[in-house]
Amino acid sequence: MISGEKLVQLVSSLLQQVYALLDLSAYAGILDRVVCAVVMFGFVAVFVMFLVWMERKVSAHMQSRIGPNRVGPLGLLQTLADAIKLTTKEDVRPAKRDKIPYFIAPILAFVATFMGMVVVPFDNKMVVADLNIGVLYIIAITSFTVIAILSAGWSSNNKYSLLGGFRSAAQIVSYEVPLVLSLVPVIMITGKLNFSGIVQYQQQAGYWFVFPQFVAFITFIASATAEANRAPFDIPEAESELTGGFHTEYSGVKFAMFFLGEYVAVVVSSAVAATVFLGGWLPPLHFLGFIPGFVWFMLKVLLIIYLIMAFRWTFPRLRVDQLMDFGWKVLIPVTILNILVTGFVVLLFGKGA
Amino acid sequence: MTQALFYILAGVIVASAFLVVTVRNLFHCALALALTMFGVSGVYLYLGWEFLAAVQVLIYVGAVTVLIIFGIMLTRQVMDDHARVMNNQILVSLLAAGAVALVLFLVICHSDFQYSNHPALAATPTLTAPTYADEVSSLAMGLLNPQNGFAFAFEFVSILLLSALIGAVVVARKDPA
Repeated sequence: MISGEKLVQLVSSLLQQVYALLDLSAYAGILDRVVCAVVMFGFVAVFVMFLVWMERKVSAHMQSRIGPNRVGPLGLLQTLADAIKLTTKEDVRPAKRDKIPYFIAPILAFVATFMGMVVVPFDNKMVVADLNIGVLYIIAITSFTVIAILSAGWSSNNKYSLLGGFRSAAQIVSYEVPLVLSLVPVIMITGKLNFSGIVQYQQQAGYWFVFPQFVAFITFIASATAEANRAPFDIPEAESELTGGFHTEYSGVKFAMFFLGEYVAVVVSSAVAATVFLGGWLPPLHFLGFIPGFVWFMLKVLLIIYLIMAFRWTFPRLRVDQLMDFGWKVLIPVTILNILVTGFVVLLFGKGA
Repeated sequence: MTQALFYILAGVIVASAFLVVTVRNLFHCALALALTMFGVSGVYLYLGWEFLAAVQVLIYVGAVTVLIIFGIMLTRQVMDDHARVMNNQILVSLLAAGAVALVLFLVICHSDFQYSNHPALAATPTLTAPTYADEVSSLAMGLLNPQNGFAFAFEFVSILLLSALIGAVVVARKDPA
């Protein structure tokens, strides 16, 4: 079987030949990045379409329904049909909107989360940009979503949008703290902020961090679910209370951008969880190594996404005060305690304990 | 090519900073401020300091600007563009800003930007030429080295921040019971 590293080499040598053919070899460095970005965008768009289908199938399964089954085999093309419907829809805009933020918000919401995909390693050496500070980069770049959501809620000039934006931003800001703090123990143990480095550490140590850091894994998944504004933490969008939240006044392609951004946020946090806690591209058992790493990686990502989808139909929605209490009075103390304990262990047994 | 990149970044920073102080709609000001901060992090990236760039985005875009936007949203009306850009202390503020600019200019002119002058930084030779490999650990060594680092100042600032945090909670509580 082909490994991710070989695949990357194959594709890059193919690209070199194409550049030579088109007489563009001088710009190879820039062109490589453009190709990476386009491929990543295509992958994310198709994957999100698949996820929307999966979400509907999972929820149908949990409610003893069949789910979409009309368009294409197993209803797989249902999302494509929905996407075409959304993009051809009329773009209805409020007359008294604040024009510039209203226009920028959906773009920012998608771009901010999409940029997080850049540092996620799909396999050994199969990563767009293997930044030395990958973990920090993802945390920093995804913080733009708060500005996007606030702009959307504010510029729509609608009180439901504004309230939804406020709630959403408050929630994201609150849950960003436990999200980051639950990654800290792993960084303390490995001494690395680089995703590939964290996976390589797990390879050498022979265990995945989900076992010694099970608490951190749980708090990470919980805060990632809240961070993506998904049920049971979906108060910002609670259809019954806020008529859709910050994107009430958005329609057509602009709404699709928010929708896409939300799913990409789920993909990014699942990818981070799979990399940091589930060993990324490593096979679960040694003799299963013949299956390429990126397949294992995608399987782990899908497993975590399935978990997050299953949450939606397992837990009832939290009230606003319960939501804030859970974030500040449960998750944050637990993560800080976890950091303290991990610190003691690292101090006593040295790194790698 | 890289020179051009710097001038583009500098242009974005100066233009958006100019917008921050001239636009009458406060919400637009906050967005322009976010762009300014993002441009500054771009300059850090340009200089090869990925860590500082990420921290700049995290703190100034992700936290400070969001806080400012929250403040604006809680106190202003949508589409309110009647914020006063000038007040009657324009001369004094011009003087103050000019003095700061002069001092900064002189400092930049007279500094040769040798990282290794300080003993704490000299102990970590990687700092003289920031390498991608060890940027974070060299920063940590320079800051928290037990012999000649700034561990005490670091802890002091931590305690200061913690007390400010507790103070904020105490002030924000409805009834002190």
